[in-house]
Amino acid sequence: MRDYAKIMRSCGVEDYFITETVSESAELFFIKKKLDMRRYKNTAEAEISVYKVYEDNGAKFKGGASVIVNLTDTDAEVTEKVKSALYGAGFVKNKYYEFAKGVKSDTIIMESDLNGPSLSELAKKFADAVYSEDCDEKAFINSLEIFANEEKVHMVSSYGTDVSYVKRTVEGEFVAQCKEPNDVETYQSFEYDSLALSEIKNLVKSTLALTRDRAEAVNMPKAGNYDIVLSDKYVPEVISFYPTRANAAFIYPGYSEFKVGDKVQGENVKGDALNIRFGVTAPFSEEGIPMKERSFIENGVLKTIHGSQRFSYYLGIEQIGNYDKVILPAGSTKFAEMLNRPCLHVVNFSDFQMDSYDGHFKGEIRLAYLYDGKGNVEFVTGGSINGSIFDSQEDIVLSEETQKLAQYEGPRAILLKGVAVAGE
Amino acid sequence: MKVKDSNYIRENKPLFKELVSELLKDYKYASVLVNDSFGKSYSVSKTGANVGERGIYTAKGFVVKVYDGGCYAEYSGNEISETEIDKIVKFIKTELVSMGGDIEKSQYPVPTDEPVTFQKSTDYEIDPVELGDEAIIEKLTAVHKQGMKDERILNCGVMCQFQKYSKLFLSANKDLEQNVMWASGALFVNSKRGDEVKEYYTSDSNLGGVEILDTILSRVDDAAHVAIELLDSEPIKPGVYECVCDPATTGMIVHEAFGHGVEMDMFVKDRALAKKFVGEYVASALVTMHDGNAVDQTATYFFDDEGTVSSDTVIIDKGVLVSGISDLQSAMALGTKPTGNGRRESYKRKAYTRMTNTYFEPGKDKVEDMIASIKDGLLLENPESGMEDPKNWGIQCMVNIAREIKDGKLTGKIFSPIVLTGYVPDLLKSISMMSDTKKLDGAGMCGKGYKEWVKVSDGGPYIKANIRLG
Repeated sequence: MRDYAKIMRSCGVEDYFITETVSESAELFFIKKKLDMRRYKNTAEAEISVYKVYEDNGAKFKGGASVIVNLTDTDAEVTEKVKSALYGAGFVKNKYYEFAKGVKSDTIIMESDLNGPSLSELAKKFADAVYSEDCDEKAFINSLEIFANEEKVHMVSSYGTDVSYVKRTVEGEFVAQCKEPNDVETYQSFEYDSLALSEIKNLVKSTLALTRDRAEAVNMPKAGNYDIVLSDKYVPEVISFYPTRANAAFIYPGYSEFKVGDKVQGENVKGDALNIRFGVTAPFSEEGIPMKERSFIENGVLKTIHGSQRFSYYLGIEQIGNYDKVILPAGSTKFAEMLNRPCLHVVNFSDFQMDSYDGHFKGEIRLAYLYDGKGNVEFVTGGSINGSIFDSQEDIVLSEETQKLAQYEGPRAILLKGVAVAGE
Repeated sequence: MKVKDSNYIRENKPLFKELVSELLKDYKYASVLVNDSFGKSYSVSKTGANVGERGIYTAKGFVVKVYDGGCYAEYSGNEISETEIDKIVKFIKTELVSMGGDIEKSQYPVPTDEPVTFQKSTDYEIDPVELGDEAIIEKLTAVHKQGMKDERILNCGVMCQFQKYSKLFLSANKDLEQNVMWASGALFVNSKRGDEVKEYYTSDSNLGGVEILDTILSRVDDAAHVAIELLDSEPIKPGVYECVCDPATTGMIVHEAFGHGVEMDMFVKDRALAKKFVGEYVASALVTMHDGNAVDQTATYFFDDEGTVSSDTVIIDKGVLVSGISDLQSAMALGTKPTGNGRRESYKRKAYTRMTNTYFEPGKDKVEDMIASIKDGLLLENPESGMEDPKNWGIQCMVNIAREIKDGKLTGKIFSPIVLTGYVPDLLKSISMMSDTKKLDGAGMCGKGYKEWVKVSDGGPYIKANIRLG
């Protein structure tokens, strides 16, 4: 690592935080079954944040500014950028705050069965896995992109941080297509931190199946209020309301009034009470704070507020970092039982969003299964849902079946009652 | 003033020429795109201020492309020297082109690579670097304070961004250099009642420097007023409504609902319904749609990230779909002429067909006449987001505000949030009036699916159309 301490001294910088990232990725791009492009990336950059403490009219402030440099830039080039950042930091009038004492550690190589093979070999293994399931009679893989990544991250700071880790992931996306009776497609993305070949195969299989069903769907649901069942990647999107609202950066300006001890799921929970733990996706936060699994919500009651060093300091809470993974136990109801009632199970949206400001979750329906509660099911497409978590959260039902994604482990399905649907 | 060239590119150009020459000894086609960009973001809000560079705007590196006799391969890196040239060439020959092993590869011809040489720069009035961090933060802070005056306002965030980029493209026959600067500004105003937080967003942008800043900052009082209005908004009753869309909402429909569907890499993959409709009416005869460099906005450039000179593409001509937009590789696959729309998020990423500045031409109507023509309908404003569906031309767009119109007049009632759905040609064919001026905004970025973010602008006139809302 470059001698940043020397550069900082020469610029008069007392407080700084630096993240060096060396990234490599092997990338394969397919159209149908043919390899359309091969790419390899090998880059090395550093983000340098500098801070300046100053007083104005008797009040103490701490300004900060950041710059990005290549690891191959000369010390003179880096010095010039640091000086410009320090100048800018002098005009950033942020209320004073302190960083938690930094930690030191040897390089942590995140344990994974992705470690060992070359990145090119990993990309090929996942491609082979995807295409091994591309044998449906009607639906097929239209296109596929695979990125096998390795990141070497090294963080140092003026307040004692010196940590580093190596992490591998495989991510990508594919599009499934079915031409008959209607020509339709389904977009699917994935990210794994393990050699999840059986998981990617299952994802391909289920995506091909839902694409086949969508090809049969013609009618739009009738407008009205429905019990909505959401599954797979849409469940963490709904749940994301809680970690967003429990983030210090959301609480400090008043977007959220969450406090530890609050019944954040409402006063009168009649459905499944939420039990959520924070999980770990990297050994250190982006600010060098050690990450560990923590209790987040227990029986609908908030136990932890997370967030950046600055906003956590302002709130006077422990600086534990930003958490981006949640872990929930299995729910109380079998997935099949959830569907034994009149309900709309939406399995594919064009885009589905949880807005943590106003609590609305909404999206346009590409495929949903409309159950009448008497064993009949109709495929529907078109229209949209627009619900409010404030109206739904006390009655949610979570499935016994679970799923494991990069940033979510928990129930595979969620039932939300009385949600408005725009349709025919 | 003209945007200056890059020291990094000037000093290292001989090395990059040597790299291309070395590769041309083994490959029929080789090129390199070199990027040196510098961008900064400023923001001031209730939580404080931020100033800094963002990785997506500040980057220095290159991407090499080779043709191995049938297919293409790329290497992205950010270290160049005599020694590195040898290493890169060796890596490409021994590792890169053999990636994927025995998998069957697509077969493409060699690009025509017609000889072109130029160095061009865009203009600006106020250089953000010369204006300086202090002056920019002072301006933003003053506007933030102005926006916070009403006690019902929870937060007023003020932002400014700019990017100055230089690119060099070298191949056997091309030597292209461009130096471009864009800037944008935005206001986010939040109001709160109970647990619900409402947000109003407004922005503006230009090809040039921070001369745009005062224009956007002057809207703070209006923005705060609308954020407060939103506190009394109600959910809308789902249904099909006669609507007038403001230019920003028109822009979202142009970009999300239709523009993504004419990106011709989607034609190659058989993912775009538009492929079957070339030469047919897809919109009202009032509609003419463009993408490209005919306007000065944040996505205006002289050549794309594959060395194709940019152009102005007419996509819909008086209601008839006449052309898509394409990158180089898609054009080769389809046997068409590339339109200069091959764009990368950065030198680290692959090029895809991407929109640039996409818009409807204006019509002849006055906005007040358009509103007066509606007996029972809505004025849609303040688009939030949208998602493309090139395969089926389904619309998913979210807007923040629908203002009620009764008997040709705005009643003051607001519905929010709003989801637009339906079939794109149905919406475009229902366009019955268009205002006589257009407006484009390029403060945001566009993703391909959920990644590959590039700067774009979109817009058009006010349009009147029938739209399904929920």
